[in-house]
Amino acid sequence: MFIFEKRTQIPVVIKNRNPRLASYILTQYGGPDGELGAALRYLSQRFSQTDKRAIAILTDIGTSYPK
Amino acid sequence: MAHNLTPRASQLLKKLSQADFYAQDLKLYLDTHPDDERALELYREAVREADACRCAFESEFYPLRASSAGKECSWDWLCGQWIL
Repeated sequence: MFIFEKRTQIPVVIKNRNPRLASYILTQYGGPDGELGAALRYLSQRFSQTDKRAIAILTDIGTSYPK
Repeated sequence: MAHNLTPRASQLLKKLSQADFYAQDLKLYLDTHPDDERALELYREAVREADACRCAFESEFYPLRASSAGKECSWDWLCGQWIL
C-alpha cells in the first residue's frame, strides 16, 4: 500500500538542536491529534465513498498527508 | 538538508523534491479535473522528471526505495541518511 522513500518531502535544516521542542513537534506527527491519525481517517473514509473522484482524492490526500 | 551530503547529492534530492511535490499537487487537481489535458501533460512531465532525478541519485549515492537496494550484490538499503 505504501512505498517508503529515504528522504523528506521538503528539506529539513536543523540549526539548533532542541530535544524538548523536537519531542513536542513529534506529538504533532504521532500524537492523539497528530497528522498520522488524520491520514488514517482519510484512508478509512475512502471506503464509504461512492464517487470515484472522492475515493481518489481521499486516497491521495491520505497517502501524502504526514510526509 | 543533511549537512554531510555532498552538494551534488543535495542538489539531486532538491530537484527530486521539487518535481515530486509538483506531481503530487497536480495529482490532487487531476482527481477533480480528470479531463484537463494540459494538467495531464504537466503531470506526466513532472513524474518523468522525478523518476529521472531518483534514478540519478540512486545510481550515484544510495537507494531511496527498498526496491532499488541490493543491485551491487550487497544489502545497501542500510546506507545513506535515514533522517534528513
